[in-house]
Amino acid sequence: MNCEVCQLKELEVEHFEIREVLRCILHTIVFHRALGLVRPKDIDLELFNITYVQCGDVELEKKIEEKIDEFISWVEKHPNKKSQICLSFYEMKNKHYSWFNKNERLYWEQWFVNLHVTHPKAHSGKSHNSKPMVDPEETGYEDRGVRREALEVSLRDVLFQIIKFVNEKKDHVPPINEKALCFPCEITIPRSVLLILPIHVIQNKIFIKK
Amino acid sequence: MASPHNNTNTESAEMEQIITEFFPKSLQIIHESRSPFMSSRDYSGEQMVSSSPSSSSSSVWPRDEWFNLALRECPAAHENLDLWHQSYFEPMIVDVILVAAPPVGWEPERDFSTTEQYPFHWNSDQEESGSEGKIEKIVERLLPAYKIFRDLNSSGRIRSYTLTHKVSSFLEPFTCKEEAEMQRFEFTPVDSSCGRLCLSVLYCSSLLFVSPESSTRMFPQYIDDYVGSPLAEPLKRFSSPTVVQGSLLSSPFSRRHSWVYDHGKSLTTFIFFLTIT
Repeated sequence: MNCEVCQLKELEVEHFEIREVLRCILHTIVFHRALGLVRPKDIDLELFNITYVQCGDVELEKKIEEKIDEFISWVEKHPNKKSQICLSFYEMKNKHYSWFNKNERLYWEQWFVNLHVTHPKAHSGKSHNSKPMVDPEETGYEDRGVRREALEVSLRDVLFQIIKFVNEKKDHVPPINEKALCFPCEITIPRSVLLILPIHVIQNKIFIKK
Repeated sequence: MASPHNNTNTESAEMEQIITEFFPKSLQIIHESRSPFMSSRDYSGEQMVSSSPSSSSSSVWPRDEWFNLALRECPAAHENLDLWHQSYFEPMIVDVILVAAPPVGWEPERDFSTTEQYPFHWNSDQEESGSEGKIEKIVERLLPAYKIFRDLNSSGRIRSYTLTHKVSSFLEPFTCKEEAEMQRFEFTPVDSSCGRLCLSVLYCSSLLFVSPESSTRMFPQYIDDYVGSPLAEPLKRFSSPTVVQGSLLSSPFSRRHSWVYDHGKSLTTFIFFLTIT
C-alpha cells in the first residue's frame, strides 16, 4: 500500500497564533478521516475570519490539544525556528516472524504541517527625525494588520490544499473498520536532542567525566 | 439461499434509496451554511442520540444521519423535491442569492443572480458519499458567501440584505461578464453502476460589493474607518457639520466594502448533475 504524503504550505505565525492555526489545520484533516456517524461542529476562529469543522469526538479533541500544548512548549525552548508537525494515519498489521509475532504500524497517509514561528519586531520608538511623521506604534499596528491578513489568506490556501488532496486521492485509503470512530492516527511534534556532557577544564585541556 | 436475481433487486433498491437521499442531504448541507436562521451550527445532535435506532440498516436510518453526517433535521431541504424523487437523473441546480431584505411573500426570481451553483455526485457506498458531503461542508465554509451568512446569523442588527436560495432543474447560463467574476470548484466525480454523479460549485470569488454594515451607518458622522484621513484623528473636533460633509463629498465614495445595488447578486450556484456514462 502506498503512503500518500501531503506537505502543506509553510505558514509564518507568531507565538499567540500557533494554537488557533494548528487547531484549524489538524481538525480539518481529521474531520475527513472520521469514521462512522459524525456530528460536525462549526468553530469560528477568533484571530481570523475563518470557520472550520470539528468531527465532535471529545477524545480526539483532547489528543489534539495535548499535542498542541507539547508543540508550544517545544517552540518556547526553540524560538525563531522552522518546524514541522506530522499527522500520520496508519493500519496495525500483525507481522509473523520465525519465532514471534509483532504488531507494526503501516502508514498510509502523512500530513506535514510546516510552521515558521516568528517573534514580532520590536519598535524602539527611536527616530532620526526630531518630529516623526508617523507614530511608530501605529506603523507597527498597520504592519501587524497586513501580516495578519496575509496569514489568513495563507491559512485558507492550506485548507483548500487539504480539500484538494482529499478530493483527488482516495485509492490509498484502507478498508473501513466499522467499529472504529476514526482511522488510527498519531501526531508527531519536533524533538530535539540535548546532550549534556559533564566536563571540567584542567590546564587548558578539556576532560569529560565518566 | 438467496438467488442472484434477488440480490440484484436488493442492491438496486438500496442504490435507489441512497440516490434519493443524497440530493436532499446535499441540499441540507447547503441550507445550513447559506440559509440564515435555519442553520444547524453547533448542533450537537444530542436529541438524536436517544432516538437513533440501534440498527444501522438503511431502512430505519434517521434522515438526518444519512451518509454518516448528522445534521439538524431540515424539512425545507426535502420540500419541492418531487421531481428528483421521480427521476434522479434530472440535474439539480441550487442558486444562492444575495438580495435586499425582501418584503413578505416575495419569491426569488432568476433576475436576482446566483453567486453559487452546485452539482452533485453520489455513490453506492455511503461512506464515500459521506466523504463528498464532508468536503462539501468544508468548502462551503471557505467560500466568500459564508462571511455574509455568518454576519446575518451572528449579529442581531437589522441588515439591508439577506441570503436566499432557489432550486431548479435547469441551468440558466451566466453572462460572460458574470462568469468572468466567478470561480469553479469541482468535486471528484463518483462512479456507480447507475451512472456518474458530478458536483461542482461556481462562486463569486470576491464580495467587495457587499457592505458588512447596515445602511444606517452611511451617515457621515459615523464613518470612522477612513484610513489616512486627518478626520480620523480622535482628538480633532469637527468645527461644523458642513466641513465634515464637504470633506467627505470631496472624496469619491469608494469604500472597500461599500455596496449599492438595485437587484440581487448571485453569490454561489450549486449544480447537481447525475449523468449516465
